[in-house]
Amino acid sequence: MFEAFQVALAAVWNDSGFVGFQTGQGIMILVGLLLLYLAFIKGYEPLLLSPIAFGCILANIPANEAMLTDPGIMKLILAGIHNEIFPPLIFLGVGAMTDFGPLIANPATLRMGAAGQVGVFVALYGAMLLGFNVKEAASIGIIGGADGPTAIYLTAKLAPHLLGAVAVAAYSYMSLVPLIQPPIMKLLTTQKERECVMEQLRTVTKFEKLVFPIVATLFICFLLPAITPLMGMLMLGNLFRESGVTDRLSDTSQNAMINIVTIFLATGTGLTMEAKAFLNVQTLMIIGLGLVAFISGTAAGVLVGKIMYHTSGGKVNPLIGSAGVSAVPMAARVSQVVGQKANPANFLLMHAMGPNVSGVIGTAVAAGTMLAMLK
Amino acid sequence: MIAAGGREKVLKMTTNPLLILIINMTVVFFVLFVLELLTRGIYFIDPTRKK
Repeated sequence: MFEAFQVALAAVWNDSGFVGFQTGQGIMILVGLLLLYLAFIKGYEPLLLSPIAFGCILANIPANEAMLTDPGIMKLILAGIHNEIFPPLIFLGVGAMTDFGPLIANPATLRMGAAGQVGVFVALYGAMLLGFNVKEAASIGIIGGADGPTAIYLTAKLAPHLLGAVAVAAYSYMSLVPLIQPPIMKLLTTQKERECVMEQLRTVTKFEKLVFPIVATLFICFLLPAITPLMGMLMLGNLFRESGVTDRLSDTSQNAMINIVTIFLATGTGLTMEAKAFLNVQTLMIIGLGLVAFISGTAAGVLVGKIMYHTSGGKVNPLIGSAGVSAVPMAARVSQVVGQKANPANFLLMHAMGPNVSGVIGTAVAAGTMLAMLK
Repeated sequence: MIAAGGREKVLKMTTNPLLILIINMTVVFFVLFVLELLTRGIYFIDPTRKK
């Protein structure tokens, strides 16, 4: 009897993660713990970062490969990422949560949204110079859009082997918007420009709010059919919001559904951070290029803002240009905070939502263009 | 390769990073510029607008 007990205990021990433990997994578990610290203690986008961090810890528990390959919830979550199911659903929620009014009231802010995409192409160029092939470079470049769902959507189609690194870089930089953007904004603007108070936006009619998403969908999806799932869901969510007769659908899209999908998408992103696929020089290069992309996009948005400040006779605060990278609504909030520090009478949030929404559209268009060229 | 319309694709897609950068930036700026014009157009045809 004692022998049987001993054999059983030995079998349990030999199958345990303690025996199969590798240093790389330990490092990734530490990375997961660090991300949890940033999420819970430092408060950096805890809704995104905490499931990513915990997914990372789960993915690196030794002798646990079956969790990701056998039928079950984890495999289902990964399927939702690899088959591009979650990003369009997130876009549905974003559309339902976002007021397009500031963009419709001041369509010139679309130029800042276009400028915000400069970072995407700077990183694409840099990645190709570093030896990545064109499809990998496009996937890395899209990190500069600071739009996690679009980054996952494009990478799953063009370079699925980079999904973990790209998704983590995209979501990490989205979380770090309040840290990365302000120094660039201050560096590129003068105190006088930052103090500029913008006039209140005009009222946008219900007609405009209903027609805009329909016209935008038709135009963009006709031109770039590859991003119809993203653009279509974004605009459908917005129509739910603005129609006034689909409140229940709007409420579900912007609350319960987006929360559920965020849990799945963010946990699944963490699950892609297995040590064997993640701990390499390529990942470090991707994270570095992502930062370059993000900084370039922010700088380009602010510079276009400066041009608009001068051409409008000082009526446009250039700080709203930084919101031209996506990251809704964090980037717009950063414009508000930096603007109010320069001048307490400054209320830039609604103004910054214009470039912020155009940034979402711009990143999706950039992804669609690359898909049309490269797929 | 045969394109959707049945015509043969004779041009090979470029792998020159600078060219890809320029083409993509042009498309993004073009699309958002047209969207700006369309948004202004919606404002002008709005029958509910207070004149």
